[in-house]
Amino acid sequence: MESMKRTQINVIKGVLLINSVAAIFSIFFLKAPMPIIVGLLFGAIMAILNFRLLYLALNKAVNLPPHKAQVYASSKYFMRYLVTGIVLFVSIRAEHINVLGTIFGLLSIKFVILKTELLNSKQFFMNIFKRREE
Amino acid sequence: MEITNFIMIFLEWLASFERRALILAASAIGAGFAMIAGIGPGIGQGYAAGKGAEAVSYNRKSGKQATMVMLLGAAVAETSGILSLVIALILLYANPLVELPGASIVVAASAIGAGLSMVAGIGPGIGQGYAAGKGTEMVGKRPKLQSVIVRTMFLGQAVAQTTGIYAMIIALVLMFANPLIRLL
Repeated sequence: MESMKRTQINVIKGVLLINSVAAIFSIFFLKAPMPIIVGLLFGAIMAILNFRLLYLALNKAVNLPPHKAQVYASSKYFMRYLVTGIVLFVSIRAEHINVLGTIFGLLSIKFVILKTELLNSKQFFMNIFKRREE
Repeated sequence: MEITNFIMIFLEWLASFERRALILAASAIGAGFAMIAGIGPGIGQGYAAGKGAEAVSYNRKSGKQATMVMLLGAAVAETSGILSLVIALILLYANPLVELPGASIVVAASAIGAGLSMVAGIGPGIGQGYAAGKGTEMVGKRPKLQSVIVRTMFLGQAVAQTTGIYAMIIALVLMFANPLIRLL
């Protein structure tokens, strides 16, 4: 269970880091950075919450019979989808939240996962292009 | 001949409505179409969870590793659902087409088209979930090869995501930089 915890903490740290960098950039390059920063914060919190809910759902699903696990995971996905919809709706309606910040915050977790799990070995990509003689 | 007449009668009937009402109605249809893409990640994540449950039942020892691969894979698979939600909510609450000049029928059709293009999000949703499921299954069978399997899975998922992003670009172009209006 230790590796699961470590992976989750790494992903959460990555999300906080990428959103902090985006917030610092918005302070320097935008005239009114506050709505973007609030949006980033809102999006990042929801992304972390969704990730945690996904973990709890899948952790339970793997102990169910396969067909029940499918139904359970799909139903939990639609619950999270509804929550994401509410978050985006609130950020579109609220004056003090910029929806672009929220969208970036929500999607930042995907960038972090792809960065940490996909782009962590040069050798893998070099092997793809290596010629193999039979 | 009768079909042509029917189409003309339908278009005349549409033209009888006020411009704003027509565009808003089309936006509502577009938003509904965009939400169809939300099904994709649902099916994909369900498949991945099913494969995860299978992997754990085969080999209990590799259960944790399989769950971790599934968690990361399923988190990436949700992306197209979020993108479709963004387009649907823009059409509903921050509609840029209502104020757009030009023929109302073209603007209305663009609103429907923007939503319809997001239906493409089903593909990446199911595909990425499938990749996550297969990755989980193989990690369950061969836990030692985890890092290579995970990297290959994410490479596949990243490539699979591109069609969803193309769909979103077309939807955004139709809404915010519509090239059809200038052709009139």
